[in-house]
Amino acid sequence: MIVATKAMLLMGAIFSLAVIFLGAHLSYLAATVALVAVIMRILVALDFMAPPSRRVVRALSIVGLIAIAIFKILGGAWGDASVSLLILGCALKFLEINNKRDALVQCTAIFFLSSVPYIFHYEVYIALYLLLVPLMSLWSYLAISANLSIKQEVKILGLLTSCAIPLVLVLFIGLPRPAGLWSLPQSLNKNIDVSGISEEFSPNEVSSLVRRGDLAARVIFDGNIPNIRYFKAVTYEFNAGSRWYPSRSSRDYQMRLRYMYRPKDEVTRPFKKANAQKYRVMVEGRGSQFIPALSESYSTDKSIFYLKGGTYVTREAFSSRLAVDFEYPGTIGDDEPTGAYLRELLFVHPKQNLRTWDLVSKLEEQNLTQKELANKIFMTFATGYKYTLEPGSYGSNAVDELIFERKQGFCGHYAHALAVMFRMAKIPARIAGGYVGGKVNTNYVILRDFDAHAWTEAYIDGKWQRFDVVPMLNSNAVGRDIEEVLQAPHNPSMKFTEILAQVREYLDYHWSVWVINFNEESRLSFVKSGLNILVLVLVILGFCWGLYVIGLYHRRLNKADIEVELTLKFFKNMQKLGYEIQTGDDLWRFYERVYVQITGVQGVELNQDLKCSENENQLLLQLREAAMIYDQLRYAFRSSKEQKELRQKYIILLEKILHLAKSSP
Amino acid sequence: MQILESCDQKTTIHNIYVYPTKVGWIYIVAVLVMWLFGVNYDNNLVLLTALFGGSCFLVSIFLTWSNLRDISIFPYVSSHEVRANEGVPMYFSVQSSDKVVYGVRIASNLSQAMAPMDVAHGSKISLLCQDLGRGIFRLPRFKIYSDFPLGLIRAAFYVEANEVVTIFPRVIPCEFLPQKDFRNFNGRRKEHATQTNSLNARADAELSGLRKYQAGDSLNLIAWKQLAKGRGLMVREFSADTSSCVKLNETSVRARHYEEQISMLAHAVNALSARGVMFGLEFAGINVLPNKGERHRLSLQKALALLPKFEDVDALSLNNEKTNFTSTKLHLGREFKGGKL
Repeated sequence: MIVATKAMLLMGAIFSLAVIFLGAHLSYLAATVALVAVIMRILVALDFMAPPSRRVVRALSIVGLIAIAIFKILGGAWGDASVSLLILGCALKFLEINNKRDALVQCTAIFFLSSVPYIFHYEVYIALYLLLVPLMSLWSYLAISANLSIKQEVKILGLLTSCAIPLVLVLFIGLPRPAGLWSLPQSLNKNIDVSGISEEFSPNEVSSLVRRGDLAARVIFDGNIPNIRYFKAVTYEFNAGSRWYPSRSSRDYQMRLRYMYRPKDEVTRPFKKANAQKYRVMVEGRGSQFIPALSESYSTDKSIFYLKGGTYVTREAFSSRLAVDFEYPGTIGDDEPTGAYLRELLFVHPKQNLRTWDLVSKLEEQNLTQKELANKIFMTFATGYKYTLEPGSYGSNAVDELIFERKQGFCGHYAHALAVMFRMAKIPARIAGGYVGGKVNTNYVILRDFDAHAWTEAYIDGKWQRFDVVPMLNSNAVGRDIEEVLQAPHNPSMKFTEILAQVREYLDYHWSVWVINFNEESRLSFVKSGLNILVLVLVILGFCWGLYVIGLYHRRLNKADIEVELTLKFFKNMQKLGYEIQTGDDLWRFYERVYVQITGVQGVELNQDLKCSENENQLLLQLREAAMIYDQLRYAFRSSKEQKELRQKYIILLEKILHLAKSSP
Repeated sequence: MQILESCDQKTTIHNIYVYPTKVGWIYIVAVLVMWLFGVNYDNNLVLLTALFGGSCFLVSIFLTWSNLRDISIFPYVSSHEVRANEGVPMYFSVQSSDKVVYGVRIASNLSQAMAPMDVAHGSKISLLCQDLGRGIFRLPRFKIYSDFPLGLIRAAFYVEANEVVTIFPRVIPCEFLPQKDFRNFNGRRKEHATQTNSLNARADAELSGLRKYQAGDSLNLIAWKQLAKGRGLMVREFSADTSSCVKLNETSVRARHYEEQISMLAHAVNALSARGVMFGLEFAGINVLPNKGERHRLSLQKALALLPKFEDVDALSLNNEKTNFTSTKLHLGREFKGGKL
């Protein structure tokens, strides 16, 4: 059986789109082989080439498999190799479609395959793919199963989608989502950390991050947006010269989370406080595990874990957009550093930054309280220091260089210097990395890479306190556009691009909130609102209305021609007048029966001298004429105008016959 | 055409069965897997795709059912004779008030798969049912179904005919030799009937004339002299032949086996009937007196059709029947000797 060419083209298009979107995650050679196979099948369907022989198919299979094997050997991820294999298998199956059933199975496979790109893409542009591809899949099913014109297929697709879409919305919003049944595998991306916020901090490396404008996260506040916003993502406690790392205990904990998770190992989270403000963080998936959040935030989300440094992490690096709900401020339990952790927080290299050691010793001789000492150290940077993104590279005595020589740097340098100085003064200190400020857009804050920031935290008087030098140096330097910080000239031609950027941001934001990050919490909060329930009810009514429209439209879609309708009606009326109508009658058969009934003569003879009344004679003649006109209407090719005229004539004739039949005995 | 009135029915909500096709089950599994992945990995895009697939599936259930509802199917059987191994042609007339029914197929356990058809009011669908040989053919249950529009859901309803069709034996054209039949319509032998075995025509019977040769005439009656004279093949007629009736029996045809015998006799019945000859049939328990006409022909064909099939006939009883025939011949022979001939 020849499968509809339409269906082959549609399936080929869906397949090609999926391959394009999977792009970098496929073995290029395997993808090429797959596309070649699909193109060959489409050419066969269009009669441009003969079906390939078994040898050709086998050769393609072998080449594809070898390509995938090489891809894996050269370092490809298991996930990517699996996807390549799936693509190849689907494409080769294309070449073996021989009948309708094969085509339908292949259609199902492609429908399944078309959802694989969603693992890697979640931005707003994928919405077009999301709308187009399932529709094309549906059309393929229709093209294979039914032999209709394009117009009819479009009508049926319209019917199907007009009912299916409200149902999808209802199910998406109304259907509860169970918790995950199994844990996430290794990210299909390699664990490439492109967020800049990483497990290693070095003052010399942060500046490149601060120049980028990529979206890092969006934070949606349920209420007022706080003026001062420090979103902490990671803390660095372990100091190795000019490099900082998270504490050993945190790193061990993260390892255990990944490989040997046990609930009892969890660090106690902050407690919920009354009147806490809710907010949601939607983090871009860039191969990181860190979730930026306000200090002392509380979350019940089981997919994230609390670290001693007051930050939250996921078990695995995530590559798709992640949404986490927090409440702030929470109440932190006993977070006094002790033991090995305290030692880490106090460790400073004794043989580096000797001049700074002297400076701090002199301050210690003043017999100040810990708090006063910390303030004194902090105010060291109050005057004479500059904020710059290009301070040059610092050596191993970076603090000495900063304080006594260059007197300029960016957030990383000052955070490093302050943390070192606190430790020299025996105040437990650490560096916190994350984002500060961000751009406020209606009810949410946009955090970009240039909002990345580092500051110092010190444990003083029983709690961790934040010390940030940069606002002292340049209040504009924190959380503002990079062009403003660098005082770059404003380009008027960028207004259009700004508008585009705003529109894109608007769409992307709503896309994230209502689609990508619409999780169980969002669903529950949506459903709890009365207005939303009303909307849901309207959607359900819309679905029911859609079904009703299907019923009506289907009748219209399946409506037989007007002539048939008129004839059936005519028969009904004649039956009421006492004329016999038999199953399967058409006008000719009816005419013959009436002829026999009236004349008593078997066999219709045109030129016979009929022994009947004038009325009956007229009835027979007109009935015969009506039968002839019916045949012409049904089977003779005419222009629509002629058809209309003939139909009118037919209607008038039927009415006359009914009238004559009524008046005849 | 014979309408099978007993099995015309209209489709309603109660007699349409809706279920997924094989591909439909595969589709359900795929959608469930997608839904599971979407939920487990918190991927709303996959979840939306799965929900869309599932919703379209649910809506298509309604469309598929709606396609078949409110239609009536009237099965017909051809009133022409149906012969063995030729199949039983069935016709189905579709009555739907004002709509086209898409992708209709009719199936039974005795017919081959047919391609889907779009039918409107008044359309006729023909189907050939495979028969199982001569005899009574009970019409199978017909399944009328459609997979419109997506091929994932099938709506079907069943038409069960409690009707039977008699399938006549296959006809094998052959030479046949009918015997003279001296029975009258009451089955009694005629008085002073002179049994004439057409195979043993006596020369002292009075020659009444010549007639043209017709297929089936005994070779002994052929007037060879006339043939030699170039007058064509002629047959002698004798006035002592007091009976113009013939009969067909197991010796009238030369067959290799039982069924072939029946088929050849069926041909002989048709041939004699076409000639307007009065003839009867004595075979395998059938004992029909000579007669002529269409009704007689049909009754003989039916009788031949209803003969037990070879596998049903006990070989021993068949031998016994042969023995009986033989002893009857002997008995006649003795009478014969006693007769005037």
